[in-house]
Amino acid sequence: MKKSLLIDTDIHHEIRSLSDLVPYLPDQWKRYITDYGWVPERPIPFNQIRKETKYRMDTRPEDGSTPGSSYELLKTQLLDKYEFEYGVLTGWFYEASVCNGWYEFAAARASAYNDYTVEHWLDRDERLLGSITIPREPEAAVREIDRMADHPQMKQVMLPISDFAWGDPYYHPIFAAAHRHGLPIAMHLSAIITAQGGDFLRYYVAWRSLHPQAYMTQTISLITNGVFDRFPGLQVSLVEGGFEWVPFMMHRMDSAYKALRQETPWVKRMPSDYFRENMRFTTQPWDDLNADQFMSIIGMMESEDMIMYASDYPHWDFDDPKRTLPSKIPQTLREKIMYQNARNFLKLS
Amino acid sequence: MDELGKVRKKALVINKRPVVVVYSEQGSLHALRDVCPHKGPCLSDGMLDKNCAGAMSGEYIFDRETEVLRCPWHSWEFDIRTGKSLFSPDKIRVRTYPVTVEEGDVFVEL
Repeated sequence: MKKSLLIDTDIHHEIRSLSDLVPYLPDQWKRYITDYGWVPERPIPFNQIRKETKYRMDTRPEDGSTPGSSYELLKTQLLDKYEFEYGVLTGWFYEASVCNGWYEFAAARASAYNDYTVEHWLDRDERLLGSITIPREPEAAVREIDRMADHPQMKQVMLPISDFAWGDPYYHPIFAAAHRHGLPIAMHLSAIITAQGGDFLRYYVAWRSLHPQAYMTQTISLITNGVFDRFPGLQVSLVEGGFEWVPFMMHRMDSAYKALRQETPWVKRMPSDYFRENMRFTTQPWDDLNADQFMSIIGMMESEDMIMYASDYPHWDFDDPKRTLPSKIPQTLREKIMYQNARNFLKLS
Repeated sequence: MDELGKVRKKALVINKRPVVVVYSEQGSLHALRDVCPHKGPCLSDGMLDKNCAGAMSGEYIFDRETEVLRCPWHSWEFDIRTGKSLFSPDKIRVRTYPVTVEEGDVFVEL
């Protein structure tokens, strides 16, 4: 049988509860969970009107634990079913990276989550690849990247998208550390993602529709702060934020740069060059584009290398790899999106 | 019928065709193709619910006449009587089949 050429760039493995992290926490932090009832803040008010709310209804393990927390079920429903060559674990523990203050505890939680991911997931299946979870505070983040980067299955550093822009020079040590280790960066929305230019929208449908706006903020921040000039070759993927807006922003930023480049002279190239060379975007949530619509976007990007497949398992808006891309697109483009672009991004040999 | 009264929906394969039989709260029986036309999961893994209606901001009215089968993945809703989606009834629908009951047994006509 022909080997299936598929890589999934967004799989949300989960802890069953905070207790899963306790074995990996230093003593002074364990007690906050075991004795003093600490739980992460829950910043968004929404639930969906459906069983399992944010999860696919068929992904809860038989023992009732959290969807995404069972390796066996994830293996059956995803890795084996679709014969993925690799799947990238993006987790769902972004609160340690985006919370405000108490960074020592956040750093301990991030480390514990990384150790949990290695022992319970990466060590069990060579197809699984990991994302290094970091605290937001740059010095601690660099220590964590240095600690985890040599693990052969840790293939990227996760910077969750919240209400601040990662391109700010304050965060550049994080990019420097990733770059030094040859690791790409992934950015994924966290529960604290916000809109610029408006107050908090009332409804989940509004909040979800607005996610791309926060991704736009990140891309503009990275480029105008010279991240890609300072760290040439650095690759950043923007996961679960859509891609249809990308050609719009490439053209809009190019047009602004022609007139306004003297304000950011450290940005040496046209912004669309950085989009094409340094940034990648994922397919999920697929917005039901037909082949003609999709090909017009590829045409406006002037690149077949910028989009990578993602499933978002076990979340409710999961995209099946066999039923995501329209059937009438060129096979060479399909293979790039389903496989080769991710392979290059993750530097898989 | 006794079993359906308890479980409300049941997945069957009849002549290799997947079918979900639904027993509505109104007491009627319906059969639909057990495949979501969007991405293909079994609708029987989803949930039964009422249509939620409302004419003004902040108004939520459960429409007890319209029961829906909600897909386990992307939450698309289909009217169990007609198979029509609620968001685009003329374009997106699931096939339905006639159902009859004889002496407590349920028959689906494909």
